[in-house]
Formats: sequence, C-alpha cells, structure tokens
Amino acid sequence: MTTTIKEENNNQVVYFDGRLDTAVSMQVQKDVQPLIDNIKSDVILDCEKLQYISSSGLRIFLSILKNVKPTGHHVYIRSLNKDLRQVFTMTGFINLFEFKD
Amino acid sequence: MKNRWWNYRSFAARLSLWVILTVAAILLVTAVVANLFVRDGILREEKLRAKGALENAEEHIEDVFIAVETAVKNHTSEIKKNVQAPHEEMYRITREILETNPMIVGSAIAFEPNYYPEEGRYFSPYSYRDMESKNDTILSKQLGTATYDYPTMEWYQEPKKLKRGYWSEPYCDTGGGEITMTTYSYPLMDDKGQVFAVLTADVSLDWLSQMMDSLKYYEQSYSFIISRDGTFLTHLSKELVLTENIFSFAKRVNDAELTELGHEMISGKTDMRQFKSPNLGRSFLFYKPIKRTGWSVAIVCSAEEFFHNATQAGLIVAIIILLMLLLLAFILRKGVHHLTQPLVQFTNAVNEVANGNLQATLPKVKTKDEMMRLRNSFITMQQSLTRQMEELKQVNEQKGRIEGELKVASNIQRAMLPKIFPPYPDRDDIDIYGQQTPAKAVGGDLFDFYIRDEKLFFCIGDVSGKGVPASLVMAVARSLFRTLSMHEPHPERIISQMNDRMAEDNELNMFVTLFLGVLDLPTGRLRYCNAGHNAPLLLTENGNEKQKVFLPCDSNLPIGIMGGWKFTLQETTIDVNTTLFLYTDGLTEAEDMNHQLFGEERMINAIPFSCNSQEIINKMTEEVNAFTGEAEQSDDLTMLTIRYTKLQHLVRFQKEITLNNNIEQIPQLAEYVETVCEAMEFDAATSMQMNLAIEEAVVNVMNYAYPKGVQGDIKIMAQANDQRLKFTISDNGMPFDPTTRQAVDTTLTAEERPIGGLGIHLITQLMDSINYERKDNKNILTLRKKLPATPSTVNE
Repeated sequence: MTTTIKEENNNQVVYFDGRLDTAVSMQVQKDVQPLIDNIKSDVILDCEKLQYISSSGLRIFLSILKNVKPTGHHVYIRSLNKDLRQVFTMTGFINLFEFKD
Repeated sequence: MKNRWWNYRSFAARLSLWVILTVAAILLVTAVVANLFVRDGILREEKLRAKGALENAEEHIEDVFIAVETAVKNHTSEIKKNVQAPHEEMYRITREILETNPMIVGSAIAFEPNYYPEEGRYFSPYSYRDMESKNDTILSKQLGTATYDYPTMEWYQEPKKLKRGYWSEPYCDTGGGEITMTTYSYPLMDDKGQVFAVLTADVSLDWLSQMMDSLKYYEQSYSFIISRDGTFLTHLSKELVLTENIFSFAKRVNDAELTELGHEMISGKTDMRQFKSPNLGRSFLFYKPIKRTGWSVAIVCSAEEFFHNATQAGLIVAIIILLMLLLLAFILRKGVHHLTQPLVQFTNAVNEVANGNLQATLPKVKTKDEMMRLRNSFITMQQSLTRQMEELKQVNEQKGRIEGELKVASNIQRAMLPKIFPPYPDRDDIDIYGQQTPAKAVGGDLFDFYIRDEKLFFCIGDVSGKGVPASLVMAVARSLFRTLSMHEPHPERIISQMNDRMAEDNELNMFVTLFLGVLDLPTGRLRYCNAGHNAPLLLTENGNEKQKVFLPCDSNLPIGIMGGWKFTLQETTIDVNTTLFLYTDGLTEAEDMNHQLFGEERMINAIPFSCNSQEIINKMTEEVNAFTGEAEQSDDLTMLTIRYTKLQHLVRFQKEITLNNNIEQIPQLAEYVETVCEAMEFDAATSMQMNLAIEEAVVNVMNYAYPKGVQGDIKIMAQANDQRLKFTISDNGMPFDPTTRQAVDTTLTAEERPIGGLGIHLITQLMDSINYERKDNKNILTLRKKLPATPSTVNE
C-alpha cells in the first residue's frame, strides 16, 4: 500500500495504491497527516488504484474531510471503482463526499 | 287503547251533539210550557162558550115554560068566570089554551070530585092535539073515569097542596104515541081560597132534544139533560131517555165518578168537570141547572177534540223544532268543522313531525284565538325539536368520532402485533404462528417476536384490565420490548429495564405479566425470563418419545409493580422439532355457559404433536370454541407457537485459521478469506465484501476482547453447506457482544458523523446474519452468507 501526495492544477491530490486495510491504516494516517496539517487548496482523493478499503480506511477519509471542510475547500473522490463505491453507499459516505470520475 | 271507529268521536261531532241537545231541550221545555198555556186558554174559552150555550139553552127552556105558564094562568080567570056556565064552556077553554100555545099538546080542567054532581064523581074536560091527523086538529074528551082516579095523581096533588103551579116530572105518554111530556098543573081556587079544580097543560118535550142537538158544536160532543131525580130527559143514546137515571147508569157501568157528578148536577151547581166518558174517553163536562124545573143541562166534549187545534199546533211546532234542529245541526257541522279544520291539519302536521319532517307546514290560522295559541305552541315545539335534534346530532357525531377513534386505536393495536404468517418464509429453522382474539374492541394482550443476529426475541404478555387503558399499557410494553431488546440480548435484563420504566409513575397500578424468551437459532439455546405469566408448554419429539411439559419458571413479579425487582434468568437448550406453546390466561380461563374453565388439562390434551405452528393454534382454537359454545368471550385470548425446525446440513467445506490479537496479521486473514472465497467460487466483488466483513469482525476482537498488552488467540472457522457459508470467530477474551453497539446513522453530516462504529455496521450490511453467543467463557460470533444458487440447483 502506497500513499502519494501531489500538487496538480492547484489541487492537492492523494493517490492511494493497494489495499487500505486495518493493518496499513496507521501508516496511511501518518502519510496523509502533512496534507491535513497544511490545507491550502481543494483536495482530490484519487482511488483509481485503491483495491480495498476497510472501516479504518474510511475513518482516514472522514478525518481528511473533517479537517478540510472548515477551511472552505472541497474534498473530491476520483475514479472510485464500482465495488468500493458500494462500500461508500453502505456506510452513507456517498452523501458526505463529492465525486469526480 | 282500542281505537275503533265507534269509539272515535270528532271534537266537531261532540260539540255539535251537545249544542243540539241543549237547544232541543230548551225548545222542548218552551214548547211544552206554551202548549200548557194554550191548553189553559182553550179551556177557559171553552168554558165561557159552554156557559153561554148552557145559558142559552136554559133561557130557551125557560121561555117555553114561561109561555106555557102564562097561557095557563091567563085562562084561570075565564074558568072561574064560567064555572056556572054550561060545561061546554070548559071544553072550549081547554081548546083555546091549545090554540094559543102550539107547545101545549093537551090541556085538562080537572075538577074536585063531585064538583058537578050531575057529571058524576070525576069531571075533567080535556082537549088534545090529534097527532095522527095531518092538519092540527084539536079533539076533546072527558078524562075522568072510574079507572082514572086523577085526584090521587101527583100532577093533581102537588099543585093543590102547594097552592101554586107545578111542573111534573117528565114522563112518556103512551096514550098518544111515544112522546116525552111534562105537565104544568095550576090550582084553581074559589074566593075562599079552596082549590076546586086543577088546570093542566101537557107540554111535549120533543123540541128539547132538537134544541139540545143544536148545542152540539163539536163533531163528537153531545149534551143531555137530567131531571130533578137524575132521569135522562135527553141523551145521545135515546134508549136511556126516561128509562134510566144517572145513578142507575153509573151503577151499571160501575163509575163512582159519574155518581158523584150526578149528585153535583142535581144539587143545582154550575161547573165544569173532567171525566172519562164511556164513549168519548177523556172528556170535559160543563153543566148548569135550570132553576124553574130543577133540571140540569150538560155538555160533554171530548178532550181530544177539544184540544184538537192545540195538539195540531203542537205537532206543527214540533215539526218546526225538528226542522230547526236539523238546520242547526247542519250549520254546526259546517261551522264547527270549519273551526276545527286547523285541528285536523295540526294532527297531520304532528304526524309528519313524528315521521321526522320537523319542518312540516302548519295550517294558517287567522283568528286570534286558541287556535292561534296552539299554532304558536307548535312553532315553539318545532323550533325546540329542531334545536334538540341538532344537539343530538352533534352529540352523536362526537360519539361517532370517539367510536371511530377507538376503532383506530384498535387498528393501531392490531398493527403492533405480528400479522404476516409465516413471518420468515425463507428460513427453515423456525416456524412461528401467533393469534389474538380480543374480548373487547381493544385488547390488553400482547405478543411479539423478531429475529436479530440469529436470535429470536419473543414475548407474550397480559396487561391487567381491558379496553383502551390496557391497550395503551400494552403498546408501551411492546415498544419497550422492541427498543430495549435491540441492544440487550438478555431477557432478564430487558424485563428488569421494562419493569423499572413501567413502575415509574404507575399511578393506576397497572401491571403486565410477561414471558420473554431469546432463542439462539444456530444452537437452540433458549434463555427466558418469566414475569408472572403462565408457564409455556413445551412439546418435545424425539423419534417415538413424545412429551408435553410445562417449561419450568421461577416466580417473578409481574412488570410494573415494583421497580428494582431482581428478575431471574432461566436457560435451557431445546432440540430440533421442539414446540413452544405460549398463551395467555384467556385460554385456560375460557368459560363455558356453566362458568366452567377450559383449564390446563384440557389445553394439554388438546395440543397435538407433529403439527406445524398454525395447525396447533387452529386445533386449539377449535377446541376452545367447542368448549365455550355460545358463552361470550370474557378475556383476550392470545396464543403463540414457536417450532424449532433447524435442519442439520451436510458440511461440504471447512477451513480454519488461528490468529493472535495483532493487526499485523490482517494480511494473513485476507489471504485466508481469499482462499475460502475461491473455494466458494465467489466473484471479485463478493470476495471483497467477505474480506471486508471478516476483517472488521476480527479487528473488533483484536481491539476489544483482550486488555492491552495481553496476547490472545482468535480462531476463525469457515464452514459451508449447500445453503450458506458460515464464519465462526471465537476468542477467550472478555465478554464482548458487538451486536449491542448502536447502529450507525448514515444520514448524518460529516461534522456529526462519529469516527467509530463503522465496522459492525459494515458487517451487518455485508452479511446475511450476525450472531453472538457467549459460551464456555468464549465469545462466539457467527457470520452467515447465503450462497448463490448453484447452476445444478437451478437446473433441477
């Protein structure tokens, strides 16, 4: 599981690659912490290569959202596959985030 | 009340009748009085008329007699003068007397015996009228013979004795025809005053009856004369004349009244008398004496004839009265009918009002009288009735609304009870049927069940009392059961909490007996708590061994009586094919017509083996209905049957792994789940879901089952039969039931969403069932996923 943060078109983009299960969630949380600490633009969470997400992964997504929202910026989820989108639906997260394809 | 036509008299008819009767009475009295006066007047007039007639008759008779007397007296001096003359003179004188007075039919000068010695002892020259000759011939003869000794005769003796004229009693002269005669005798005296002869004049009285006939002034009236001794001188009946006197006649006809009358008449009185005439009936008799002769003249008139005019007038008056009464009746009928016409219309109006038309038209009344007042009263009545009907309608509407609301309450209450059977058509491990028959529209019994996490929560209860209050308490109890059991799998704790809630402010002291059970469906483990309810019946079937026993129950208080009461938990494990029959006392205490109770024994005997849950309840309903018959159901009757029918499926796949409580082992777990999913031929999406669910479940155990720093094992077992895949996750850690966690609200905003609680939510979403059991100091969490139908199954 790798987490990469890039700046693209004046947006901060987080690329998730691999399985975001409970075992790696601590590391991922650490990886995104710089972004959370320094929000200067809209955030795009790129899930094109995300294979799996557990509830601990969802919690990371929620913590990003909770930190970005007060700054007035947006959080977008990009390229989420169909199966994972179903997990977002089940948990109601689909109502919290804005999606980009 | 019989209302026959002859009993019915209209007011108009009665009023008319009374008026006519009154008027008739007045007219009748008037007519009678008038008639009496008229009769009195007639009588007085008739009296005068009779008096006149009688006086005329008397006068006439007197005239005749005076004439006779005068004729006689006028010749006395001539006789005296010619006493010495030849005797022929005497004959001449007598003839002369006859000639001067036509009334005199005979006259004699009867001398004292031997007055003329040459003539012999008796000498009495006599002249008389020849009745047989046509012209008035006067014959003479010498009357005195030896055979006719006249000096002894009354007519000779009386005047000689009295020395004055004397009228003899009338007599019938047989000598010269049958004629009534009377004789006037007058004594002739010489200078010395010696009677030497008696001059007589015979007077025929035939004219008397003619004269009397002229007195007849009524068709049937007649008159008669009686002489001094009462002899009839004239009479209607000729045969009475001179042959009978009034006294002998009265004696013959045996009439004392007539005798009295006779005496009065001959005593010389003038009077009128009513008497009963033998031939005229009731009659009036007027009589008067003729002083000269001592006779009495009488006129008899029939009263009928007398009052003929009066009677006729009375008759006419009566006819007039009758006609007037008829006219009056007619006028009254018209008039009163007209006056009472509004009454008939009022009657019709009242009938109309009685039939519901309150706005019935009233008759128009123009007169300011009782009718007007009646009409005003009617109007008041109509208005009052309309008002009251309106009020009644409102009251009824309110009542209807209340009834409607009660019905709604009843519907709500029924809606709370499970009503779709079978409730779990896709489950083969449980067969449930429940039925409630409320005694009143809204009942106080409750039963409920639902499956959560492979556990069947069920309860049956009976609220004290009936009707709306009971149903309200029932609703509270039912919702408490649902809410509290959602996060609490232990029946005694659920009941304790229900008890504490319901005991608060329980001013009406209502309570609920409740049996609450939790059946773990995978294992058949039954935990239950009985708060004062009837012990359920347990039917066990193990091959040929069949048994009916009551489930042992501790005696706990019913719910709502005392807060803080410690309810006890009981536990047993039931085998497959065991039936649990729950009921309320409405079953055991169902009464027949003789108030005998259905009782537990009948219930036990009635319940059948080897039947499904609905058949059992149908059979029981049939039995209890047959027992109660026509008797009214006095209490709610609720029954609930639960059959545990879990089938043991052949395990065709099994794989297990044991991890320790370290999240670093998650990839191993993922690998394990992946292997299982491959074996199940799941697609990628399902595999991912399985992975997610198992990871979440295991992470939960890793995080919470063991205290920090304590190492523990987590055993994961995957088993599959033809129907489903089952993961059993067990550990030796602290009791931890993840199913009691609050459900996640997926509708909250990002700010409101808590960070935790997502794991268990995902498990319940991803798996078909989740089940927690604590057994042998182990937490056992079972997750099940139904397998998709295999192609071979589809083909079959």
